[in-house]
Amino acid sequence: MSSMRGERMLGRAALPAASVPKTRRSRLRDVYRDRYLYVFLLPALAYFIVFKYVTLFGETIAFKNYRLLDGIWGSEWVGLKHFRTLFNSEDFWHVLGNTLLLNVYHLAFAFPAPIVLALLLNEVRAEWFKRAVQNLLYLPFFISWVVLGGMIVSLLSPSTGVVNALLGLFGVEPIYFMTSSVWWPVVFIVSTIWQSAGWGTIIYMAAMAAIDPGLYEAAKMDGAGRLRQVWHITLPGIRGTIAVLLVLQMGKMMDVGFEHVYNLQNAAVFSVSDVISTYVYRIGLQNAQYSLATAVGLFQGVIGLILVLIVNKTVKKLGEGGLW
Amino acid sequence: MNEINNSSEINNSSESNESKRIGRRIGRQAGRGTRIGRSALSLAALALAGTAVLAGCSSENTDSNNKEAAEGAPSEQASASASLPMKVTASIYDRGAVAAGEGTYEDNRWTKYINDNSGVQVSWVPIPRNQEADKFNVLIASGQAPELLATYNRDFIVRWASEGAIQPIDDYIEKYSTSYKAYLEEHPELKPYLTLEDGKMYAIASLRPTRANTAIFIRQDWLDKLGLSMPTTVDELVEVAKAFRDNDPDGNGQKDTIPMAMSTSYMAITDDWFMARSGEWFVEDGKVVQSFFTGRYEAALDFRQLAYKEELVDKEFATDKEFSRQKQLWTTGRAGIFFSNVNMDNTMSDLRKNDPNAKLSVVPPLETEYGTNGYQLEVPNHLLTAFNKDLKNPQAAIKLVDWLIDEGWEPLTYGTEGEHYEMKDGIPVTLDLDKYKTEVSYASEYRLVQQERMTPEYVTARAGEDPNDQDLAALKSTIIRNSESYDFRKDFPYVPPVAEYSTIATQFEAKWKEINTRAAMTGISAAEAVKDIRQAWESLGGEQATAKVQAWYDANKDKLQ
Repeated sequence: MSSMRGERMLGRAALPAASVPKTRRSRLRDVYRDRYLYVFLLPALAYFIVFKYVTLFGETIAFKNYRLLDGIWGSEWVGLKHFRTLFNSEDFWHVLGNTLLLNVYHLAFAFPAPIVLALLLNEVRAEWFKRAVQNLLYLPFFISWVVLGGMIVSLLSPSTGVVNALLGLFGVEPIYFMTSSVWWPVVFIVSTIWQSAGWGTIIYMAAMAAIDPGLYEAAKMDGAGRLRQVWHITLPGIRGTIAVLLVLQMGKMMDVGFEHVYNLQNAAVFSVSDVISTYVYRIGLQNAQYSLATAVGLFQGVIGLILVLIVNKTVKKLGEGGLW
Repeated sequence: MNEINNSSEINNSSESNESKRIGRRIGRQAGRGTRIGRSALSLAALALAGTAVLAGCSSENTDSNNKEAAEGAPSEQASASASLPMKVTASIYDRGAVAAGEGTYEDNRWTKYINDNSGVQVSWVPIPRNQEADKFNVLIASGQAPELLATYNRDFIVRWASEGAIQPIDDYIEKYSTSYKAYLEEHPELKPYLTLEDGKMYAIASLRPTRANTAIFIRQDWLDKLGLSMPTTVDELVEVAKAFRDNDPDGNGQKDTIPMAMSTSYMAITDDWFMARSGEWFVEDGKVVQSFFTGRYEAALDFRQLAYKEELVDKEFATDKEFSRQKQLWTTGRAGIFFSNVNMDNTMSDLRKNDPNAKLSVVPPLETEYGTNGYQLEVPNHLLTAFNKDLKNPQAAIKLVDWLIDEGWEPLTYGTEGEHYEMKDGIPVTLDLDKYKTEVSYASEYRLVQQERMTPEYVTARAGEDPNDQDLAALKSTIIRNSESYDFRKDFPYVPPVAEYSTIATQFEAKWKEINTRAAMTGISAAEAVKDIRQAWESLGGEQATAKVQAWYDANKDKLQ
């Protein structure tokens, strides 16, 4: 009995137990028995209901002509009008393209960065060095983009920036990175890596710590070198973690963090840096076209959901656990 | 949108770049909490969710309130109103100008003064100056907006009224007001700016202290040193700038002068030379047209491109979004021409601190191939204050307004007699400008209405003994005099209240700003740039908007004088 209880708490692991038919009565008894655990669950449930589900109701204004005076109920239904407006506007497609492009870059360069970093850190023998490096790598994650944005602009300044001064030593003409539509996405991705790669290593390091040390020992006995060990033990060991994070990342394909873009953006690179979040900010918050902005958000959310579903399925086909 | 309509308010905003930055930062950090979700979206969602939840509680209230207001007999309502506490909440622009020792925008010596003397308890809600559009929208959408909404942007008033967020105020003025009512009767010229299309008044405002705004300052000592005379045409200004660039006017032996420093006024002034302010409407041969398509706009683009190519401006202006580098160029004496505005006291005194010998002059309106246009002339009205639909006690609101226009505005403008000023020949003369700046200058923000008149004589007379203050006052007087003696072309006194236009204005603004920046920094011709702008305009449905604005203009042109 007690082992079953434990399994139920772990949720997914309780599959065999669930196949045993249960009467409603005994279910209730279980709930009663675990009542304190359910009480602990309540605040979390309340949070999700109030802040995640009740607010979904607000999405209806994507199908209405929302007016403050009329409220969400009272506003007139317009069906898919706002979606038609969106899909007919060049801007929307342009913004969508930018968003996807930046996210593809993200997937290609920023997503693997913490994995590589974690593998490297994992091989460091001197504990104090490892810790020091880790702490330094975490640091940028706690700095706001407002500050990081300012730092990046001054580091990359063609007249006073360090980067251009270094390039100058090699005889390279100063480059105005921030206003070049070629360089701007590069700066954007590199700054993402700078800010979050260190933080991202945490979860991989944890996964690596869970790998059975016996495997490494056995490999060593068989004469496997460092690289072989990484390839055949460490990487397969964190494969599941990578898969889960990949699925989660796919959910963000339609999204580029507002603060990051907003703080690095300037008028000269607007055409490559205008993404869905800045677009929503402009039409929704600045121009008060709430319905249109909600339609964009809804569209973004639905596509994100579809991507997560597809990738999750694919990952499972490939033999990983996936999200559910 | 923000920028377009607020161009009329450059006056106050560009001086306090520092404060804007702080305000913006605060705003952004507030947004940071939602970072895990989709930042902007979740902000919007939050606002909307707020409404969802609050709508349930508040809609009932407001409905019954409105009904009462509509049906209740005046006397009944007056007595009901009198029994309500004399309390009101009001928005206040946060420019980060309240010194730490003075307290905060919500609580300082002047908010106390107002509460102690007006007979109304006012709770102030700070609105970051540079984020008013989003801040107001979020507050209103979530039902948390203050009862009095004060803005310089008439287009907001139009939008709020059409959204039903604010209410007409004619009845309240009629019923409760004495002083402001009299003031309005004395100044009927204000009425068109306060009245919307339905013929009702939606805002309270007084006249601006001065209608002067943008200005160009020049280092007279540099002109003298290089033996140059004051430019009178744009071409001469370019020649002067080139001389500043090449001839080492600061005498430090290095060719490090960047002749022209910008502020938000740079675009405005260079547009205005050619009578084509970005994003504004003009009337050419009876047809309404966006400034970009007047044929004159190319000249402004050409000038900005030339200035960049010839290194007459900072090459990194594009990333200097808050103009802090620009300000530094000017205050450290590396620039000799400053595109700025009449309220520039801080930058001027900073320059004086760094270079006590700096001698300044004001550049007069400059001639171009299209004639001589004056510097920007503001709309006559100052801050517009609207009444929230949920305003609980209109009598308290009117009482506050009446008190401000009667007597409250004076201490909020001049400070305390004996401490900050002394009366000389009927003019309050500032005793210590530094003390005044710390303790009093931010208080002017609280004047929803006021009766200050900044004439040249008044500005000069108000300055204390200090020669620096006298110099600043002399510069200001010149700017004010220029604004009075030159015509400034402005075909529409305010943004035409046409929904088809206002829905695309923000998006269009983002586009033309990009094309402008690109045009300045690269070699594309002005004609190409205008073509790009036109394409952006048309893809947004600009032609339709033009037709609607034309219709509005035809129907209203007699009122627009």
